[in-house]
Amino acid sequence: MAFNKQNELHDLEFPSLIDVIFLLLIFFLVTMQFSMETKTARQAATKSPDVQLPHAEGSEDVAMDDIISTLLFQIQYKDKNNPNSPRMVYVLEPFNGDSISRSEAFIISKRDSLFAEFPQNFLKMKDQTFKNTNACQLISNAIYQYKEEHFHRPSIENTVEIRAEENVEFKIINYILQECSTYKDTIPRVIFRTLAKTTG
Amino acid sequence: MAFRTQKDDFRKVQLVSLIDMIFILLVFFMVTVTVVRLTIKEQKLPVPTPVSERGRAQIVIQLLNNGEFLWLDDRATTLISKVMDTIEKRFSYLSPSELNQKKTKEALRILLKKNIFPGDQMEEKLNQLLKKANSDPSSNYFVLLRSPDEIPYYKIINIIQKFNSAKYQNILYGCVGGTLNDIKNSKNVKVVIERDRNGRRRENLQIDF
Repeated sequence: MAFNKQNELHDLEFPSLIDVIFLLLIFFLVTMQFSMETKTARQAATKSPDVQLPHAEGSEDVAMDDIISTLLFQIQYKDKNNPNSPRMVYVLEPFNGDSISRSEAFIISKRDSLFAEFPQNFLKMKDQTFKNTNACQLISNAIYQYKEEHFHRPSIENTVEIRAEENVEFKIINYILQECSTYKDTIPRVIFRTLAKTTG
Repeated sequence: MAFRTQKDDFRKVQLVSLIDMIFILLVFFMVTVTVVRLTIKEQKLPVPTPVSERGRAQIVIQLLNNGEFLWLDDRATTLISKVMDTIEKRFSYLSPSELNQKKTKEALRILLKKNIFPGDQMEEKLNQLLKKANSDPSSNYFVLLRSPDEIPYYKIINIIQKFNSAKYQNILYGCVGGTLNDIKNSKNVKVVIERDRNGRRRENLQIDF
């Protein structure tokens, strides 16, 4: 009878072994996936520093993940995660009219010096002085040039995008809005990039 | 005897598999939940470019630097309309320009006294507007949002996304820079009577900056 019990124990071990192997398999699959994701996130961060976008329920998703299909102004802190550092504006645009990824556009922006720093005291500046800063000149020139090349007639499709740190002051955003409004119906709207509120 | 042992073994194996299956399901759900959280996509929030600094709106929201806000809607318009009528009757001996000056001064005093709210009431006010817009698809609301330069722009995004969530997309909005001082120093405040798209009579407040 004692022999019989030993036999039962022997039978049980085999299915458990299969299950343990399955669990190990899933465990390794998952950990591998995570390590790959962290690696790509790190790569992306070195290419183009990310910004903390505001959360909102936007009406439409960005068509493809991080694709630049129109003129985009990225406004961020000079030192990452330091809201007290100067604000920087980067001009990102499609390459020769073709959509490119944001990281590629960022490299081109750096290569072609399409970026500028707002002075620390820009909030206290008078309107005219603010408009004459390098950053504002860069913004207005970029809008003008992009309009001349791509927006030939008024259309709802003509948009300029803004991707900015959530704590960026309204003065900078308002400047971009006003610059677009100087061309009236040619650029009827500006698109803000936000993150989905529900999943945030 | 052989038959009984086989039956017992079968029962025990089922229990072990059940526990393992639960573990596998647990791991599966843990993984899928994390993957859903990881794939947060960027979204687009459209904002019309301002047409001009001067515009007529049924609702004017002026954000203030101290976190409060000024909210002018049809209630404020009705109130101003009454005040203006009273002034017109009481000071009928004044010249039209003097009368206009007096009306503007009094209207501004009342506007600024009764329509500035603490920041925590914004959500409630926006929800009320949204409820009104959602209950009547035929009516349109145009909201002018004014903000001082120093305000972080996410506060404006928060308000705009509320308008954007209207079921019938009947809250139109514009967004311009400006301070409360612009309103305080306004040279002319008027109540103008207009008809909306559906021919309904509507009193609108016109503030010239």
